[in-house]
Amino acid sequence: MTELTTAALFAVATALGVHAASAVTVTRTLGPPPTGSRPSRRKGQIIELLEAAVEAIRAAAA
Amino acid sequence: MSQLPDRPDLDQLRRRAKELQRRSPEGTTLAAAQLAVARELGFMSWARLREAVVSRRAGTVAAMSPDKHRAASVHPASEFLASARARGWDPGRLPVGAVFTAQTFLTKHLDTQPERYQPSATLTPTNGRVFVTLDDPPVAVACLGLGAPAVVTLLEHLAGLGVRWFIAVGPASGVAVGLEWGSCVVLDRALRDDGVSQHYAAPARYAACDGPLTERLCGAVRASGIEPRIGATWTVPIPYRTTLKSSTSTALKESS
Repeated sequence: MTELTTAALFAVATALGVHAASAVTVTRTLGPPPTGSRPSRRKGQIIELLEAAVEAIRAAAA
Repeated sequence: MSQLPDRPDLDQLRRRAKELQRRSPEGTTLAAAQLAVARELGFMSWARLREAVVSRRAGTVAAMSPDKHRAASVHPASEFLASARARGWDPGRLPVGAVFTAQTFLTKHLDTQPERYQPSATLTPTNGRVFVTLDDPPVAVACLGLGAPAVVTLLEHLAGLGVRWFIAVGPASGVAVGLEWGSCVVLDRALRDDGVSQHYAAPARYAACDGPLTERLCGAVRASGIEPRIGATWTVPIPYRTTLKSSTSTALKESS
């Protein structure tokens, strides 16, 4: 899959001596687009990832 | 019509023009042969062709320069932050870490959670909306524009202020067979097709995550009820030019 930031995030964090991680949700696939209620599910999952990221940072920094 | 190769050689093109002149009717000038070579490659003139060769080779050398990341910046982030402070900027209470996002619906979501997230007008002296959790320890959520430059610029600023933990969350486009819509992937490495990482790291195929932080992230994602895959991504610099041509087939196979 492709996205726009992770390689830079990892490389820069390593260069600066800080810590980086990344998580994605696949929102486009090859083939026909999704139908029905999927867009709202996608938003819900990315919000869950955001909240998980906040908790992961807190746990790491503790 | 032929195409200029990825690493064109001006001397070889000159020899090609001389050979064409030699095979042409008597009286054909070298300039005429050079023009013919340029036109065959799609250029209006030999001068435009020569410019394209020099430009392409310079770009290739810059992109492959193995020591670029070692050189000191002439305008480092520390200088920018010092200048902003000198003008009266104060970042305020610092978070322990930051989450990077680029989705407008996340910005709206944070705006509807005033009991949990507070907008910060001071944390960064650049554009973009930043929220900070009200609960301790504070964590920033940065809602930025698309792409690595925006993320890296803010990361430089925050790291310069002493922030140490960073996570990006967002969407990805599946390009491999079997990767389903809605799959959650925690990334352990990223194929460096991004156009930014070479300014910070020696040439290598992948950039790697921070292992312990990634473990924490996996645990937090699972705790939220989502079972993530662990895998690689293919970081690209722009959203709308991913292709399935053979030149990218290796990346396609290696990414999740």
